[in-house]
Amino acid sequence: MSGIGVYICHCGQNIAGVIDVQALRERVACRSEATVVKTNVFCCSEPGQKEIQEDIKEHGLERVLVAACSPRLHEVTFRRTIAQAGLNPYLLEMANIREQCSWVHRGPEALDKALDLILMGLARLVRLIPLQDRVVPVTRRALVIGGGVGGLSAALELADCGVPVVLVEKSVHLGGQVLRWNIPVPNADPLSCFVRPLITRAMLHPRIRVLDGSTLEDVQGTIGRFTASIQGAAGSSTEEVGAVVVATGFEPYNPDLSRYPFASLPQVMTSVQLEEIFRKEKPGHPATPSALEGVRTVAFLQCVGSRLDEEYPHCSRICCAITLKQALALRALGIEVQVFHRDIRLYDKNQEEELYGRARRLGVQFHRGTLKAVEPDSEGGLRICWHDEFLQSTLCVPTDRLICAVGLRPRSDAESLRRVLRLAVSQDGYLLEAHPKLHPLESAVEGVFLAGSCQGPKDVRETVAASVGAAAKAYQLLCKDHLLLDGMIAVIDRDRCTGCGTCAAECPYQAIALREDEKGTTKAHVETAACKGCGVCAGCCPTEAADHLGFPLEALKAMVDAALAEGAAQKILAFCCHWCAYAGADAAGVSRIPYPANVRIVRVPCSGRISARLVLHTFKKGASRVMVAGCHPPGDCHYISGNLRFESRVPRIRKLLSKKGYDPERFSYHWVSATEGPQFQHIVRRLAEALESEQKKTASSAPNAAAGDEGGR
Amino acid sequence: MTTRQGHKTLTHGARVLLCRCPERHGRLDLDRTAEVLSEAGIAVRLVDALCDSKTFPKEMLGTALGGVERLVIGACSPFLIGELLEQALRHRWDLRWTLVDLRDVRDPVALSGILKSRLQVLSPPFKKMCGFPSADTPHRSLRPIGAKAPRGVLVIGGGVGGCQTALDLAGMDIPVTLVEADDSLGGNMARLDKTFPTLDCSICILGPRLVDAASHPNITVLASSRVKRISGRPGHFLVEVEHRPRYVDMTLCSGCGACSEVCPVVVPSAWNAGLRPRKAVGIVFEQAVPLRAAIQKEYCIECGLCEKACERKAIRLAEEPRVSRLHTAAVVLAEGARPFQASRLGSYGYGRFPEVITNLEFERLVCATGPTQGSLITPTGSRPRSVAFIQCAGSRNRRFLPYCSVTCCTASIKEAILVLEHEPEAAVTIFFNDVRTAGKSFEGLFLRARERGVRFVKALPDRVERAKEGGRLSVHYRSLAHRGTQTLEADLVVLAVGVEAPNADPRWVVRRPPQRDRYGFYEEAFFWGGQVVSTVPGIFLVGGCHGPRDITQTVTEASAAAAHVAKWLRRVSSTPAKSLEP
Repeated sequence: MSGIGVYICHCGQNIAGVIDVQALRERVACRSEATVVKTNVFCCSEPGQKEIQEDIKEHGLERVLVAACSPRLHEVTFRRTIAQAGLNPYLLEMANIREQCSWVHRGPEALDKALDLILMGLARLVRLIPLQDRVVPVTRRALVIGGGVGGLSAALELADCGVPVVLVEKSVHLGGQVLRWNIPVPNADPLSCFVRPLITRAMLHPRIRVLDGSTLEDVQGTIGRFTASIQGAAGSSTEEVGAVVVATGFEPYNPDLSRYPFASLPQVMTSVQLEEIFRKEKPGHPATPSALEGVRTVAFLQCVGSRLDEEYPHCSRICCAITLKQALALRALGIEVQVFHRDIRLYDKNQEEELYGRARRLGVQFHRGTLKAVEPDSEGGLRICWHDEFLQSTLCVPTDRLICAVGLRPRSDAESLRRVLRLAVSQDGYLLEAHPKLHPLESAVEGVFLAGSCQGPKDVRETVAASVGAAAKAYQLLCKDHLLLDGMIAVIDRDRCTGCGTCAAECPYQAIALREDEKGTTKAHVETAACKGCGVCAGCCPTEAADHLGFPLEALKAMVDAALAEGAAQKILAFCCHWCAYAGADAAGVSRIPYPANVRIVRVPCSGRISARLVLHTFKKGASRVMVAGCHPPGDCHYISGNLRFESRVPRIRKLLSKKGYDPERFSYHWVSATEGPQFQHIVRRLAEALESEQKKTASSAPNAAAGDEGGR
Repeated sequence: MTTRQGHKTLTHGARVLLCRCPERHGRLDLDRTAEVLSEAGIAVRLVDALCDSKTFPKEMLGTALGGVERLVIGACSPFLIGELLEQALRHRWDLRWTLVDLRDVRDPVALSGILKSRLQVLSPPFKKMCGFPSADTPHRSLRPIGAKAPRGVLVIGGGVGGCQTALDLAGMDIPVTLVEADDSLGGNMARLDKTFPTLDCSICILGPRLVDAASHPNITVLASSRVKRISGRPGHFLVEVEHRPRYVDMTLCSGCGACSEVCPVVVPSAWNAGLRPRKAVGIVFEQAVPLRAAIQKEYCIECGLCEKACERKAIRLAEEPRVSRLHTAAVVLAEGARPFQASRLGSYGYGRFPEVITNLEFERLVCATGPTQGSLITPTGSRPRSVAFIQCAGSRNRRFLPYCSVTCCTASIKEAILVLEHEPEAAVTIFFNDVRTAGKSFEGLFLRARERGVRFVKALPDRVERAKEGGRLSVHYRSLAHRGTQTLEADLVVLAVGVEAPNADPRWVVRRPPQRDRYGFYEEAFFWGGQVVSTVPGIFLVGGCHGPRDITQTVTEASAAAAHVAKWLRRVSSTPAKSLEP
């Protein structure tokens, strides 16, 4: 353990006011073989950092431990400090003796815990691997899939920023769905006047290569270096690109005759067909399209193909606004309009609510309720029977035409593309974004971005915003020659790997592939550029072949050993995920919410890092209680689904424990978010109380006490 | 200028190109205009749809414009065709051209006059011209500023939209200054307990983002600061930022909280919607970025206890406001919206009855870091057995906010589920106008709420009253399903208040400040423009400041605005940010 420096921070009175820092220093110096053990009033201050740097030079320190505040706060600071002094920045460990000790505990147990935390830190520190940041070269070209308004906007934005773009469109025309929508939006330029210049610009742009009539056959590689095979009319080609923007759009719902038997009647058409009728007429003149000649009344039926309870319970977002626009256009032709709806959903302040008011003033009738039946009547029209929610009765009204306001569906032909790009879909069938709130434009696959309504129903304006935004994300990647990623990633031990493929199946980022090595045996292989360092592979590997470079199994086991070296039977060992649960414990500290001091927290990148064997090891070392805490499912996880992968492992862990003779009830897992300080307190208290009552029980029945202390071995 | 000489000058090398565009100005008799111009000796070409991919190359590329020195294009607005023209004519330094929008022209003869005068304005070439050729954007302001151009971008507002814009720009190697009026970044999203539809913890997902923004080398965060003045011209804005004193040295403070422990002055925490006490000195909330203390001087009694308690000697009670100036090439407005003042709705008794709270107050009430540390207790101190949510409080109401505030329906459904998570036995009623859960996976949340027994009533209550002293509140409503007025007893009434336009207007000293619509939201220049383009070139809009928006939409727009800014910077500086020419 030579070449190690330990720095204990007073943090003013924050730590020193509770813990006798000098006593702690002496105990650390006596229990470890660190070269330097020092205290400092403020380690993070400039003199504090300078002292560390000088010691590194003077004493030839190789690794540094700072016992101070949470690593979430200052790990970056101290990494920079030691890097400036010429050390590998990854050879730093922080013992969190402020948030998780002095702010929540008092008296001698605070000192004991601080010592334990430092010894645990030292145990990890000596096993840390000097890592390098990964440098990934970037091919500065982009692939845009889809030549609709979304794909065009994204391609033009990237090309205008100087990135060469390959634009792949399945059909022979650019423009996509929007060319079918022809009824103008009130108070706006015609949609075609917006789209046509986009098409021309894309076709003439010196940096855009349009491949129309082409499909994407295959994509290999990872962020920064994709190889795409494109099948075109003239044969196939391969393109090297650094980023992929998916803008495949949607398709309108085609009414299913078993659910909407009336859709086949000649008087019934869909909202898309209505737009196309208008299209065929000479534009610019509000003349009645020939198909609506002699029509006096038109009814709209909302939510066709949307909000179907069992089949497809999702809202298509834009159909209400489209119906309003169409109703106003028909009303301008003197046609009576009725709208049968459930809710009128408008979400744009610009004009929609105003159009709704205008439509009502112009005599468009809105009926809220449920459809009962649509039948042809004797006069060649239709009879619509409707249960009105206000009148609480069923009404039947005659109408000449019925327009089904059809919803939006994900493209049925997008499935092959999805498979090629290894993208996930959400429940509604649209492509899944990395996070619904904060990463709506990124997919789970690094370097693949989602533009427009392939991600969920959007109107044209939102599609443009999303596409331009996706282009911005791609540009951030493509404006540099190299991509710098941190070195804390997964690694596979080739000798131990049996090629079972568990890790490849569980990896949330598809960063592990099975490959044959030179001897012809199948082994897992980590795609370093795609790995985000969650450690799920290390958690699930049955042979412990997969490991995490930043949190190696050896280091975690050593931390557990150090934590349980003394009085193991009294201790609760908590594995907390860095992003939520560890932060929740910090939050308890910041709010000074005390909790029992016999808990020892081991930080892991994600709850998915925890393997069954690690839990077993902890019990073997005599821990009385083991808890794993991660982010709330489903969405809080920093690594998409690491928490869920861990949860799926729990039954196996319980089984293993009971097989080895430990009470599986002593193992528990919890979800704690970064704000839930009180929850963390609550959980630890409950575990401590259970432990206490159990010990009382074993103490009273003395013969069994030994067994209890030994963890039921 | 009717001399022979003048006439020759007008027609020499001149061409007028008119687009018939049937969709946009099909009713205008362009043949007549062409006739008048031809009589004046000006070469005229009429095309059916100039922007069409077949027509455009024929008219604009190759030899089509051979010998033409001055070109007046009569077509559509610069937002529609401007970039196309610029892309095609960028390298024609010998050609001067301008674009006339024909949409609002009615008279073909008057149009010929307009076109002639525009032709006259196109003076002989003496320097490179470029930029949006439009009647109402002056050329001067759009000339490349070149090496002298500032490269920085100002982002006003440090909420989720502002931070995302700043991060995206910083990722493109563009320096950003982020100005936030509050003491911490985060905006309204930081105050939410959970976000719909996944019920993620709001600050947990936002917090790391704020830390990223504050620690990014390309981003300068100016918290507790306000933009006082913006002057200059597009591409070269001069900004004055006023720094409100925090009375704490930001470089020394470590956010340890020793000062607030000793502070004797207890004040309501505005960050917790006034529901929780705090000290006059201290950090705003546990995850605040920057995590530094601030003194609320209006409450401070200058006892000096914090000065003694602070080990780092960071307290500066004599600090004065400072003003700093910066030059930026672009401005992104991300000020966000303001919640509607619920007290204006007199009949709901907000302010009179403590049990009537707004949705933002409810978020604080159930949040783990809120006044009750996450347990749901009504302001009167009991656990609620019946909770009523009243939708459209202010929104979709001609007297207050005539528009829909977009997020409140889904937010109330989320809050209803949160009530049931705290009090599984409670009766929860949502009074609604329309249930507008029109977003990805929002409908699923609605269905989940219904399954879990949330009652949805299609009615907006008339009034909220307390029948007898010390009793429960009664919500009176009329639903068309029943005759007469009905009453619901409630322990807690949550008003789903809408959002209003931001009022903090930086003092614009530019020739034409960004326009606002009649509700006070910033106006978008162009309907199809991806929702981020303001009426002033170089100024972009993100999030709630130009209309009610949810977080997803704000984040999307933030990235879109970053792309627009990057493009704008390439345009105003002759040395592009990063040359990527293949």
